[in-house]
Amino acid sequence: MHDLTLALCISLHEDHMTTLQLLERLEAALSPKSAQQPLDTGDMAVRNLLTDVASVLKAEVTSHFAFEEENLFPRFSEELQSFVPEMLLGEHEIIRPLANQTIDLARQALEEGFDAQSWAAFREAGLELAEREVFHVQKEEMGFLPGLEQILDEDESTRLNVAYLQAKG
Amino acid sequence: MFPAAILVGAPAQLLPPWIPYRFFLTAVLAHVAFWFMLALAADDLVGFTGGPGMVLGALHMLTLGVLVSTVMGAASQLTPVATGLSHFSLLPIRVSWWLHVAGALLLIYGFVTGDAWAAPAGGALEAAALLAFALMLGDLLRRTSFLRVPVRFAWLSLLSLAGFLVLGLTLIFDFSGGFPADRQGLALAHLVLAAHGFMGLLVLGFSNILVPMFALSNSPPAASANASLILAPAAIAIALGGIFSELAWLTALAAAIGLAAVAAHLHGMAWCLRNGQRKRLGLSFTLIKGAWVLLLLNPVLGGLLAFGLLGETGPALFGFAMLAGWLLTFLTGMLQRIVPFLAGMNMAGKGVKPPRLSQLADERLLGVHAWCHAAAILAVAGGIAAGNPAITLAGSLAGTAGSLAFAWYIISVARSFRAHQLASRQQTPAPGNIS
Repeated sequence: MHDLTLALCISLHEDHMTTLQLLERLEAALSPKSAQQPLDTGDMAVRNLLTDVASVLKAEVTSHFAFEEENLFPRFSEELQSFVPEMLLGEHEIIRPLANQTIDLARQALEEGFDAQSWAAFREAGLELAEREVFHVQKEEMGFLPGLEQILDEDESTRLNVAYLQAKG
Repeated sequence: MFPAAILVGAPAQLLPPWIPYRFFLTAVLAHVAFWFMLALAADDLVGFTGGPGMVLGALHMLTLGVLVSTVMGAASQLTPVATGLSHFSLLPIRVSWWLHVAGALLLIYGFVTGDAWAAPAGGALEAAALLAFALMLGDLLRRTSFLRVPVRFAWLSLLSLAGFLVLGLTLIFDFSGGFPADRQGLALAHLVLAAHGFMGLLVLGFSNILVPMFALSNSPPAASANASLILAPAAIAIALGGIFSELAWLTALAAAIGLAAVAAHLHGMAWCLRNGQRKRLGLSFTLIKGAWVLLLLNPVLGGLLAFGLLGETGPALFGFAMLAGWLLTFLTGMLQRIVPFLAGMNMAGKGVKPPRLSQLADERLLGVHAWCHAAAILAVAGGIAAGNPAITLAGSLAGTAGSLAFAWYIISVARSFRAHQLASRQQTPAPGNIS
């Protein structure tokens, strides 16, 4: 959707889009009205949401985060400046445990359903995760991807993109 | 292309946070003062067509106190991050805030009391503040090589700034004899250049950056952006011609072109919202969308006013719908988004886990503000149209209540930011204490 030209940036951007779409669905399901009314895990739409929460978030905080941290942040720091990678890395460290907690609770709910306690925990973790991850993606889209477009050439982008797609499986 | 590589050079372009904040805090305090002054002036507002007194004071509390303060704070921070350029010096921005606050207060005091020296002295200080701001903004615009549409809007806005300053100072110092219009015509031209020209063009230009940034979309389509870039200044120029020549058809033509400019702009904004990755944009965008409706109404009211179809209270209704309806609604919508966003940017990487943006202040205050603001706009506009000061007073009091909630929210964000800064400093060992 953005006028990004490099294959790697387009792949990262598409993953952001997938994550944002999921978070929009999650936020809608966790609206204030739902505070006292746990989701019915017998409902197919709810099961799909929880399954997507587990799979999409897992991909985001494992392969996506790891690839950025190992391959892109160091390069960005060398070529442009270290503020953005340091800021994004700090956010990864906050988001990762939150996402893992949300994933665990979603998987548990798929098996056992929600009780009042697990629902409250899922809501709290999910809402915090959604807010922090949206702000994080916003920063990556505003600064990180345009920065990568400046420092990578087409060959390097293609090579890194192949590595990224392989890491994602 | 995405409108701005906002963070690429962030450390150099993020100003010390208290520089933009002091403008924003000024704006929210002036916001309270505006509605309160309007409540005091409710009897006179209905038939207001100009002249000194509480209504003129309230009008300038809104324009200078709220709108100009917000724009100065936002532009001084947003322009460097959007262009990737650093200010050549922070001195003009720091100086401009002091001059602006002193100038606006003196000017408003002069307008309310009729004091002979206060308005000219305040006007001179305010002009100096705006020239310092123009110097700062012009320097960044001169050096940037991209963001073509917002940059051209900003240049046109600065041109309008020069025009409205000349007319404003002329009105204050009463040098009106040299212009081909009576005093009321000069005041109207000053209003059009200030609200549509300086403020409006800057708002249209920065919307091309801010709306895609928050909606996570591409820039608006070039055809929409270019059409509004050409049509909006054309409408303003023709409107000035209509005012000075007193030809109603010319003013009506300006209104028609203005309507086309607004339609083109809103087409671009709607495209951004439709194609943006972020759909849940919250209460701030409810206000912004409301402001867009009022923006659309603006040229319609202008056209009706030109033919005298708005009745005796038409000038007051037109002015209120433009300044409080469109600009104030839009800028409070943006402000409630920008202030926590900037706080979040400035809290990143400080060693202490930053709070979520929604935890910086109680967001229910924004709901109170939104409801009170909507009630205030409808009641005051209705009161003016019906010639009923009691309704206008009720609306102004609702506006005052909403503005207090809004100020509380913004001050709470600043306090949370300050608390995080202090906590981060305490956690960071002083150079001599590293073991």
